[in-house]
Amino acid sequence: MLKNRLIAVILLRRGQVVQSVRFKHTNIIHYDPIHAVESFNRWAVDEIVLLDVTREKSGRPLFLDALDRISSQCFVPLSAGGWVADPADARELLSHGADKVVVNTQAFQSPRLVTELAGRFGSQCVVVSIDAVRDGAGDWQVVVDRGRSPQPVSAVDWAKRAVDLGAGELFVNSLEHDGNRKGYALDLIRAVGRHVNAPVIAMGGVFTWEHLALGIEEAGADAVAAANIFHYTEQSTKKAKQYLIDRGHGFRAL
Amino acid sequence: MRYCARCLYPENAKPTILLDDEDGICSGCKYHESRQTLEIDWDEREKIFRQILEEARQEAQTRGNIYDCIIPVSGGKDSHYQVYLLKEVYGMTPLLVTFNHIFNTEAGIRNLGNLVEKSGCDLVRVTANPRSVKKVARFMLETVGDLTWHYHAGIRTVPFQVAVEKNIPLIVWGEHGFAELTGVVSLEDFVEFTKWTRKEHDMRGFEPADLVDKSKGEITLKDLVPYIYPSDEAIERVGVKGIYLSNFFFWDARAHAREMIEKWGFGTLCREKERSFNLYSKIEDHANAVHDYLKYLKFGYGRATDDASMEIRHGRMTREEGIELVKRYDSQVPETLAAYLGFLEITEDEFHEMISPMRDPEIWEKKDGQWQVRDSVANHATTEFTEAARVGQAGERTFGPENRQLYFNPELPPEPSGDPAFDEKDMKFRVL
Repeated sequence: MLKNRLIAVILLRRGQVVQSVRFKHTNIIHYDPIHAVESFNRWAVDEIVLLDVTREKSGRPLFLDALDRISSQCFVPLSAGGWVADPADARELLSHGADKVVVNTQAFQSPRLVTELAGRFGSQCVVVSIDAVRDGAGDWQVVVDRGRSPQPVSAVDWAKRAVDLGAGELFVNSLEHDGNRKGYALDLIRAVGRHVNAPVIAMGGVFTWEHLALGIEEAGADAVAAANIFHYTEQSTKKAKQYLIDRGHGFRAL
Repeated sequence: MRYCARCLYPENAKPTILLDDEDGICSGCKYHESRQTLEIDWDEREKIFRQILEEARQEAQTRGNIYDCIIPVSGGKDSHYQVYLLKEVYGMTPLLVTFNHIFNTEAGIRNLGNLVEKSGCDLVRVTANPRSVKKVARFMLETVGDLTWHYHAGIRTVPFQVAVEKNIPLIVWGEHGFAELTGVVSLEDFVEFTKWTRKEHDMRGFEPADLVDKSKGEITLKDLVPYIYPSDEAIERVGVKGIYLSNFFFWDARAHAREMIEKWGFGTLCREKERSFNLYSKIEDHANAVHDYLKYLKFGYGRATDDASMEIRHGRMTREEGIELVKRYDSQVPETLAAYLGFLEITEDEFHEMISPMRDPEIWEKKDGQWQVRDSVANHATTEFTEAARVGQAGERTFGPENRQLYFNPELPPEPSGDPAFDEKDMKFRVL
């Protein structure tokens, strides 16, 4: 059987781990992400997603350096993304130790990228990240460019298309929920999951372990992810996982 | 260098700081402000705190312990207040734990004794042996420019060793210091003590085994006993958790200092201190002036920046007044430097040679063989953001007459206490 997965997301700005609230960076949690990875490794997380959220592409060497060091110590599958515009960027991340590549804005702007990446590296290697925001009518629309640029396209439609183009997984977040400590955008994740035949990773807004459980129970997510919350208590991911297992969900055993 | 538009911190401030691109204000100021602006229900938080204490008391009973929690103490103002709050206000039976880093001032020894006497609590004090301290301090000075690494390592480790040994699961820390200074975490996240904060921030990424490796065996585990953290298994078995009081109470260090002066006779310095104007914090810690001078040599700012930034955030001082204090204190060479170089057996030239490669090139440059500061907050007195970033001024002023004993004002120096520990210059540290 397929188990659910617990994913720790690490957001890097110029190589340092930041906290994100509505995609705005409020504070630097670690000056060196290796300390976060050391903890998560020991604490039973199933995967790690590392995103370069630096505002300019010029931060990339710092990101690659962090990726090198992290991948040499990471015991679980590692996805990396941010500033991936073409297959060469993706290859670069893979050659620095990533197992999967996460694409967002560039994939939306030129969907061919998804097909190319899936063709070269395989769908299992391509994670399409979708950020959504509610439009005036209350429907979820796509927003790109780190939450700054809403697009007149339904998030569900883009999700379907991305999977058709070859995305192996979808990583779904909402601008309003990001960092707001109120739980996932459950209706968004549910809607995306219902329309695609690919694993959906829920992201954004987790503050309690129950929020993670609701991602699976209410929204049907295949994997539940969070960033900020895992940094702040001892053995956080282990406790989160134990909670989910105790609640009857299938996760890789501790 | 970019500087916060509200306080005085540079963008390279340690451990980490973030300047908001939109308003130029730093994460430390935002953390401070969040205590007013966030809709935090402090009564609710106090209830959660009571609940935690109640559980700790019951747990102590179940385990057959007399002590129901551990309070790590140095003897300073925060220690006094933590113990007062837990013991007198909440009726707990704390065990006090001190890591004695050996670089003690007379004032510190006196205040720690005072705390034990006034509180009626038992104290476990673990003293690092000076021979090992010398090795470790010298090595870490050479490696990362810090001669007080062992302080931070010991302070963050010994309480956990005691917790495991005595089977006491709750450790109560005071404020989250890094949040307070540069806003590394938010008040909303209810941060607990984590082993990674200890390693990353307090111990600069070095665990004892790294010291053994990197010193090529010159330092052995025997020199490092107070810094070896218990195993994950031991921590889990005892269920040790560390909480910060500043998550449950509106933390005002100065108000606490005042209260402790009145209630328990906490003593403050009655003479000018080296490198800053604050007379009630960090006074038990004798190498602090040298430690702080190193911060200046590496990053171009020092304790006066920290202390004045705090006053500015409280509206008791303007940014302009703060800049004058930075000019007066941050570059000052501490007189105690000689005592420490003597202890470590290094010359002043060797000392500067060691630090040279650690100087942040963003702030230091070498011109004609001399190191020069490239920038200072004084060059950024007014920026596009500073006016909008100002906080409202409080009626109370840092250097007002009511604060005579708390902040050094050359025009109105503090009155002597009659105790030489506080009134007289103290040039040598005391081990015990």
